[in-house]
Amino acid sequence: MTEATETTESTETTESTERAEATPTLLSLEDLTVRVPGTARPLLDSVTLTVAEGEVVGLVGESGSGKSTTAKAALGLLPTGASCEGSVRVDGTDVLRLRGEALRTHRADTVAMIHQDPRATLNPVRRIGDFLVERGATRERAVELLAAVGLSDPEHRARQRPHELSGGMLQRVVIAGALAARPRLLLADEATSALDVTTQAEILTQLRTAREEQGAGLLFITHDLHLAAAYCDRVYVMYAGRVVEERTARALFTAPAHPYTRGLLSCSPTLGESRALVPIQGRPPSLSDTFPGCPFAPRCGEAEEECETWLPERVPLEEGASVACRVVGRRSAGRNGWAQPTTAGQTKNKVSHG
Amino acid sequence: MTTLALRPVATGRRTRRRPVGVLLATAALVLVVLAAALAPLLAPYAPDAIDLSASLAGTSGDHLLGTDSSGQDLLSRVLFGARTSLIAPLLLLTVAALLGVTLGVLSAWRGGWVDTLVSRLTDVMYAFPGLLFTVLIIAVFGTGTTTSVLALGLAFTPTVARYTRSLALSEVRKPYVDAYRVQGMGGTRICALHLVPNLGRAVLGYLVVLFGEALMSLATLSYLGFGAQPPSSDWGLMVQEGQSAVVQGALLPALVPGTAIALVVVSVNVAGVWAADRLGSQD
Amino acid sequence: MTSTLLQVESLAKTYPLPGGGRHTAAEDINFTLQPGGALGIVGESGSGKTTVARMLVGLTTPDTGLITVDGRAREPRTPRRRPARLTRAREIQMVFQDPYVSLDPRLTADQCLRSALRLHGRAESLAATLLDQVGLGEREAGARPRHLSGGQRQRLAIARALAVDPRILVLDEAVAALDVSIQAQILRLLDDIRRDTGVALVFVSHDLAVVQHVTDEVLVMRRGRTVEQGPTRRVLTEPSDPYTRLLLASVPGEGWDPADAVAARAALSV
Repeated sequence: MTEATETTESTETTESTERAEATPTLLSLEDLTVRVPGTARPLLDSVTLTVAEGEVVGLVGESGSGKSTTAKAALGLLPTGASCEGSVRVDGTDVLRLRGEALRTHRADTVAMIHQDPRATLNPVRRIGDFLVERGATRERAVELLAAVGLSDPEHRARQRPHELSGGMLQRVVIAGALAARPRLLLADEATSALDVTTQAEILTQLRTAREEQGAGLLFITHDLHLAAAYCDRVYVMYAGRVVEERTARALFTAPAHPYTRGLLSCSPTLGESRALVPIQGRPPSLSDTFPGCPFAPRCGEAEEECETWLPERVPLEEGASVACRVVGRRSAGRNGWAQPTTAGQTKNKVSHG
Repeated sequence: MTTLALRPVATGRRTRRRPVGVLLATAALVLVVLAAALAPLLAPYAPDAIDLSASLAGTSGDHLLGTDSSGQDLLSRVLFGARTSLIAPLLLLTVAALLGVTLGVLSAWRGGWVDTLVSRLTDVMYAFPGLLFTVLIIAVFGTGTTTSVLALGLAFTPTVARYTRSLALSEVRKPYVDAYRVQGMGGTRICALHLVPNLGRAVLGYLVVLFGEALMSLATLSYLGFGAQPPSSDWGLMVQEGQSAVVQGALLPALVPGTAIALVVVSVNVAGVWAADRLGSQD
Repeated sequence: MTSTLLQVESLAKTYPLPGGGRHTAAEDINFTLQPGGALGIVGESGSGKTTVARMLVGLTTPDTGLITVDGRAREPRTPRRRPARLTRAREIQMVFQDPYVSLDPRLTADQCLRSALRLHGRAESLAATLLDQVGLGEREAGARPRHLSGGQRQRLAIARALAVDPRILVLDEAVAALDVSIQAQILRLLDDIRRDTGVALVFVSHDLAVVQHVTDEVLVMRRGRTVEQGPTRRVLTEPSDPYTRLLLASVPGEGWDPADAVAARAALSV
């Protein structure tokens, strides 16, 4: 069973990357599994994900889904004591094999991360300008960057210290700092979650413009499905360390495939809609929960008996999208021709419980 | 988020590993406590049995650690002395804790003029050297173990009060305290039943660290003649009595109780700081 | 429907600023709430919505203004006498944003409820009923907050507020810290509780979509002042104030463009 899954997945990955070959892949995680001692399940379980150059990719999930771990893996940063399988490539370089100076260069120049709390990134005793210069900007460019992220009076701001600025302003500074080194890939981990909605909208507009100018790819991590779907080109939905659905942003709203994605949409209150909320039962799994089958099965309204013992396989949908669900996979295979099983192993599975 | 969930696992592992020093210190403390508890069984002589014929005897089969100038067996005295030397600092800290925690919590809870008053009061007491303050009290109320315990308890109060106040100030701002207020619970009840117990661990950790200092201060008072009075086997008093023997060339009468004090103080500090870290960081 | 449960009249609070002068946290706040009704207070950080919530429950003393429950004015300060304090507590209860720090870390769920019941002279056996009402089981009853999940903690915090049997429940960003799927469960729970007990809700939040879902009436605050108030449906579909429009334009959804919000902001500052 496991073997069959692996072969299926790798075949599909090659296919989907080929399809998206128009722009070269910048970040590519392949079957990344990360385990740490003391937890019952892996932090990440066979995560496959790509970000093309200039693309905005959303990564959505609840707490403990592994979104932050995924982003940190792109920096070559794994939790202490972690063991991993699979690969993380940024621009063709295997990040997990980088050591010493090469890793430092990678973290300083190629990738930049924006965290939720700007105060964790900024040194409280250094001036804003110094923070940007530290990241490779000249004094003049530092002022330009501050203006680009929407700070008024940037010359004055550059001379201020973090405590003199509000949370929203500081997050702009951090974004300016992330852009200073002209990174190829930006990682935004709940970068605007702590901010007011109006500030969030402004910062996202500026981030979009600044990013487009530099042509950097963006992995946008958020718990807000609506935000991800509205702001990103493609979205990955994660659950319990696994990618359960990969869709274009539009398709995520119009035709969510995975029961979890559908559940998230129908339990999020939406402006202008007065339908009753349908909560997903239970709670997001913690690291001490294990699953012999689909991790979502215990909370899933559509789960069948087999779901609890069979690990779901990724089933291709339109436009390189995919969903990891037994039930949905079988349904779409029955309805359409294009989702036919690609390997013998998968055929056998289908037959055995189809 | 995931990293947050991981942290307890990682620290949980680190907690279990005790450094060798801590192990040794804990072992030493266990031995001292056992010695104090079993003194009547272990001691070869009564602590106050005078045998002038054996004055200032060195180590021998009869007197394992020798005798002092009155011929009292040093081993027996040090074993019995462990009792007062361990219990007195405990009592002292109890006094300081009762007063200090009350003042600290009151100060943090009421704020305003109460806080100012308590803070200025502790400032004034800080300005006095603790020993001078204690000696002053003893001068008024007379020498003795009880007076010195009470006097030093007062002298330690500002330290405890200040520490408790700083903890309580942040605890008072926690929403669970607000929740009790909204429930209609009175201030005294919130403080006594909920605030203080939640500060308990941290304050206890701090008191453990203060224990060594308390023991030293008591020994100092006894040494100066303000504390325990003869024929007590208090270690501080024994050092003072042994002092004259040093002039006569006998080191043991001062060395034995001196070593005992040093052993306990060092052990309590090593094991105590380690334990206090664990006690304080359990949230 | 003529009976008014809660009436708030020209409530105001200012704080002294370090450099002299005063910061207006809330000014001229007026609203009423019917029995069993639900009022939303919406605003961004610094809008004064939390200050209003805290004044309602008596954690903050208003400078001026009147809060009346069932026609009886609430004293601005917490009464010294116990019976008065308890009566006052039974009028309005509160659920805080972060359920972890709003629960006493030492008490199990069961002890937490019993302590509230005992304080108000109610039967301690009601604890089991309350736990059941908020969907907590026997395992959770014996667990301390540390061993409960975020959603379970918030359920317990709601049960603790209900233990007092209040007329009004003030919820200050009570679902903001929860995962989306858990948030929906709690919102559903609040719906149920409102239906079953007839408790009225004052729902303080920055999240317009959640407020739309929970409340009948809404009050939009900005910099301590009310910019718009009225029936939730009307305010959120036909906002008359430019700031409300900005807030609405900032909420991500299908076809959302953050640039729209920036345009709305520009319209506001003109």
